[in-house]
Amino acid sequence: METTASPSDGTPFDRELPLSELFAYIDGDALLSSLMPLAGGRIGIRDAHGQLFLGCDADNWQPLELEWEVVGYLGCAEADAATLRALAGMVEVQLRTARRIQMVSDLHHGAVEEDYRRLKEKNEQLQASEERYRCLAASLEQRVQAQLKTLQENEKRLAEARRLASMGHLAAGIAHEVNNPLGFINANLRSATRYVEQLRVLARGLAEAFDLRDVRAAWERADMEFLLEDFPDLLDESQQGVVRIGAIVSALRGLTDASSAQMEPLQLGTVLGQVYRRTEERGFSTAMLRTHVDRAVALHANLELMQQALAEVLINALQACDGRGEVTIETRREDGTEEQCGWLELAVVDSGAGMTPETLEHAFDPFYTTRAVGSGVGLGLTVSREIILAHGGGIALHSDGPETGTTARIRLPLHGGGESP
Amino acid sequence: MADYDASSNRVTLKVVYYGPALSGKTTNVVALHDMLSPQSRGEIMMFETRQDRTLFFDLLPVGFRTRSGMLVKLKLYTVPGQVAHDSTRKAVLSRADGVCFVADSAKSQSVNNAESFENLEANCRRVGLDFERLPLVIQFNKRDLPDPVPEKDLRDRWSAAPWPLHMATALTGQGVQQTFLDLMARSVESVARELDDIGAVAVTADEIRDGFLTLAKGR
Ligand SMILES: Nc1nc2c(ncn2[C@@H]2O[C@H](COP(=O)(O)OP(=O)(O)OP(=O)(O)O)[C@@H](O)[C@H]2O)c(=O)[nH]1
Ligand SMILES: Nc1ncnc2c1ncn2[C@@H]1O[C@H](COP(=O)(O)OP(=O)(O)OP(=O)(O)O)[C@@H](O)[C@H]1O
Ligand SMILES: [Mg+2]
Ligand SMILES: [Mg+2]
Repeated sequence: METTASPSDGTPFDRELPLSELFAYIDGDALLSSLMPLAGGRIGIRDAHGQLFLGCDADNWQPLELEWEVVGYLGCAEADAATLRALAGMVEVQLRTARRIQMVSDLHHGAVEEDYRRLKEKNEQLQASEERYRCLAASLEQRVQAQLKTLQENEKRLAEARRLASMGHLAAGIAHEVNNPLGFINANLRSATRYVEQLRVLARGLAEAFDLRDVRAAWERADMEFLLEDFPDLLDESQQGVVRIGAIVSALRGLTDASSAQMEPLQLGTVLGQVYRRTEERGFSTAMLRTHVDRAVALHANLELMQQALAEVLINALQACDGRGEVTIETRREDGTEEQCGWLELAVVDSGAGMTPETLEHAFDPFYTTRAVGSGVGLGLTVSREIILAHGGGIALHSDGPETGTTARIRLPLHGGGESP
Repeated sequence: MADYDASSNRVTLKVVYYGPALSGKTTNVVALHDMLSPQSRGEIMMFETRQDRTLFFDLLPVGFRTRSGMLVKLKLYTVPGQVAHDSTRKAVLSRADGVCFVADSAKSQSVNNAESFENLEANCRRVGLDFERLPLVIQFNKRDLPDPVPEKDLRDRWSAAPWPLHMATALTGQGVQQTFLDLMARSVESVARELDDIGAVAVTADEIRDGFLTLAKGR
């Protein structure tokens, strides 16, 4: 069964009203005084329960009827029955009019309030949805910013990749062009060394066979003794130069490959094993090395290149210590978020020579080296950095100055985000 | 909700004529007024604008006493059909014991009929009336129009619905009484059940229905 009633105050507009309430819509005194002359005396009105509530009490009463029910009584001491009935009819008309006014005004009042309530509700809904849109707009702004950042980062990576590619292209060209002449210069030098030996044999033979004064004089005039002495040294030095050029070319190969390298999922342990092997092959003992590393960490990398990059850094550290002090490799893992892959931070810490601000500034420059002539090319860090960049990572050196040791920090993206540069 | 007042031995029923604007609700009630005997009907109340559009409501009070002396009072309302008067419509619909939905048979009025019917359902929900259980009859009025929607089409369209269809021409009074008596029969039944539930009153559905029947015939 339904329980809701009139919209506003819970009382329906069409409820039954007692006489007293109907009289709220009638000027009772005015009514009585207008009826009095007709009645010929004072009159009074009683409610349905016989309780007098207007005018004077009387003896004879005429019921007031409204829709088949007695709602009250009209009384007058002086009027006869017929007059009283006529007067009651007039009051009934007034009551019906009051009833009409009450119903319409209650209904109208309720309807207006209901309309107001609906308007207010709609307004609140509008405000709520406006609020929602505001929030949405704000978070949209954020999302757009994030997207923009990703785009910018991708753009940067792309530019970096293009730079690496053109650099690799150049390096490959140089390596190729230098390698060819290097080949025949090397071969020629070897032949030349042999030729000097042959000349020496010839000179000895000539001297023994003729013992001619003229020959000896010519020999001395040409300072052949010094020539034969100096010629092998000269060739020897040239050959060392060729070896050095060869080293440069092979270092440049790292740059060549970095831009187009094939990546694969690799465990850090695998990479480090290769790094140690390569370091030993280059003549540096890893005996003094300490490690605190998470070997199970998975990287997305090219094994050949990554081991070259790490080996260059490790060799630098070992060189800085020169047999004293110690070198430590430490790793730390930075877990990723939903949008971002995690990172591996690998630090190579040495207690060696340390670096001056100037060396720090130029360490990554190609061909920058502080090593004795002939012992360092100055390409190690250059190549390292290019390789690490090509893997979407980064490298930085830190040193408080000479004799304070150096720390190289390398950041590499972890494998598993699906996102790879 | 049927209203029983023990002290005055009176039960009051309320039925509402609902429907789109100008479908003939007021015309139905006026026709009923003319059919009932003066003793059994009260003064009709009509609140209309100059164009005969119902502004608040029409109210025709009807009453009779049962043999046991109980007063049975019926308040017969129409709502304003114009869309703008929804709050008034809602207030008038409140506490109804039965509804007659007066639809317009003109082909052009199908959409208005449908929208008004949806509005009836929505307002029932708003005032807490159980639409599924509400005694409801449907009347297609203005059958005298030159090209009304054919009765067969209407019956086909409404065949799945649980409510009875009545064809009427309120202007001539045709079908008005049948619609009214059908509505009363259904409303009285549910009212009698309600009154029985509260154990308040010694009156049967038959008694009330007979009352209305004799009223209708009595003129
Ligand atoms: N042709 C024809 N016209 C009718 C019939 N019934 C009512 N009308 C006319 O339709 C018009 C509207 O009738 P009303 O009874 O005032 O309609 P209503 O449903 O009360 O309209 P609202 O009060 O505005 O909701 C009037 O001009 C009536 O004469 C009918 O059966 N046939
Ligand atoms: N761990 C370190 N401690 C001190 N100085 C360092 C360290 N690593 C690099 N440097 C300085 O940076 C310079 C550049 O290093 P880089 O590896 O590029 O070239 P290199 O070691 O001199 O030559 P190459 O590696 O090509 O044989 C070095 O010459 C050295 O002065
Ligand atoms: Mg180096
Ligand atoms: Mg009307």
